[in-house]
Amino acid sequence: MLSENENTYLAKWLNNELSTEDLEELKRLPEYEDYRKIIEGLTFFNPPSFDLKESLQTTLDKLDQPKKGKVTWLKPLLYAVSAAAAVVLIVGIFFNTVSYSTTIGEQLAITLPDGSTVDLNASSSLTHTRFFWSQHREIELDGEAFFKVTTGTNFKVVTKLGQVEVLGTQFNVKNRSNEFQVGCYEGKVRVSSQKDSVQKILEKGEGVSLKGEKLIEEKVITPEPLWKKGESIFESTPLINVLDELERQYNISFRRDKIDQNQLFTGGFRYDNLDLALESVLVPMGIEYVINGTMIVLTPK
Amino acid sequence: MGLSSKSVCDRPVFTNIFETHAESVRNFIYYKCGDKDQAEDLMQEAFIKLWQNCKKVFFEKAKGFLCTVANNLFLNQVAHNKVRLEYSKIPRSNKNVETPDFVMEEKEFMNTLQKAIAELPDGQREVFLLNRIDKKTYKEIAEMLGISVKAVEKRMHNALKELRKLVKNI
Repeated sequence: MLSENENTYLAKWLNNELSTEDLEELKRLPEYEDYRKIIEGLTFFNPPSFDLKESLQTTLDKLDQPKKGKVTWLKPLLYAVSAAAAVVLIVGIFFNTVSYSTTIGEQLAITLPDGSTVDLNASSSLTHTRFFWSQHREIELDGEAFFKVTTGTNFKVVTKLGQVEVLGTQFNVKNRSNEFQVGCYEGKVRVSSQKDSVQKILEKGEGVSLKGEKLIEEKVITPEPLWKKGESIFESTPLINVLDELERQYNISFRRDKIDQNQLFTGGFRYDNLDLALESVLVPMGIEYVINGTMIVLTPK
Repeated sequence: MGLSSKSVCDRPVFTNIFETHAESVRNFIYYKCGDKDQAEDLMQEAFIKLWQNCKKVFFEKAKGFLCTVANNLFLNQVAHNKVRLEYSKIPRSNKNVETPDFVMEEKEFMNTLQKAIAELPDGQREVFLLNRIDKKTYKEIAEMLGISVKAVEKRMHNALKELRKLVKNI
């Protein structure tokens, strides 16, 4: 009996394992002719051609280049990793500082990695380390800048003439060629000059400037440094410093050889009008000036 | 079980294994993927693996090893073509009358059969073709695929039934 449950009588038939009765029964099935035709048709199919000699040769050739695949695969990866590491190192060593700078008449607002903000006045530059700066907040400043410092570890501003340590939050540092001036607008800062160990703690509304080798106390009246509003005010300041500031805010240079630069100036100028600025500084000082392109020749009256 | 002392690591023994089994391993993969070059590559790769592991593989187990490795390599590949077998013209020496109609019908049937084979489930097709074309016994196929003889018989049976259905439908 051909049992459908067993499900293998066709396999047995193909293998000549069927008993005579089962074979007779299979041959009586209506499908038998189809099966026979399919099996007969299959005898004419060929497996795809196979060249044993050639195949053996290529395989043996492959054997004789031992494990080439694996080794060559890893090497470029190793090189790539090394190269990447080298780049990171070089970047770390040579690019471990971030610098900002402004040119004549330009101001720049900067946000530091810890969220503190700095406003940089004209012709100034500011530098700090790129990595791990938040753990060691130190900034090198050349020029003038106004700081709003967020809480955290000590915040220090280092300049050529003196340094400022933050005990509170808002202060202005001015460090020009021979001028060092700090004003505290909020909180507390500690100021020390680079030359000697004189220290001053400034509270809100207090300021100091370096005169000779001494830190002279000043008063800060405005809630923000005036340069942020586009003007400069001086009080008994040597004219040389005022002229320098003019040169930083406007693209001009003075010929100063005929005038006395040490006379003291009290007054101010704005950053948005050159003619007005020159007038407000030079007329009260009794200095005549001739504008010649960007060169301004100064003569006493 | 007495295993012979023949080592697969001997080059002549290895060559001998290749000569004996290369084609059936190649066909085994071909019946799965339908791509001759891919089948050839995988077969060679399996032999390279055998060489690399020659100390661990007994001579008698080499064929099983080759089939398992080749099968695994095949499973790792995504591309999968339809199996197309070539067939030779059916000789009709015993028939004296060969009408054009009859030749046409014959050709049509072979094309249909070829399509039907391509449509078979992979498991059934490889077993069926290994038996019908490569003339492997059920026992040999069972060893190659790592399944029981009973399972091979079942696949044979089902493959033939399925083929008939497919041929009727195409």
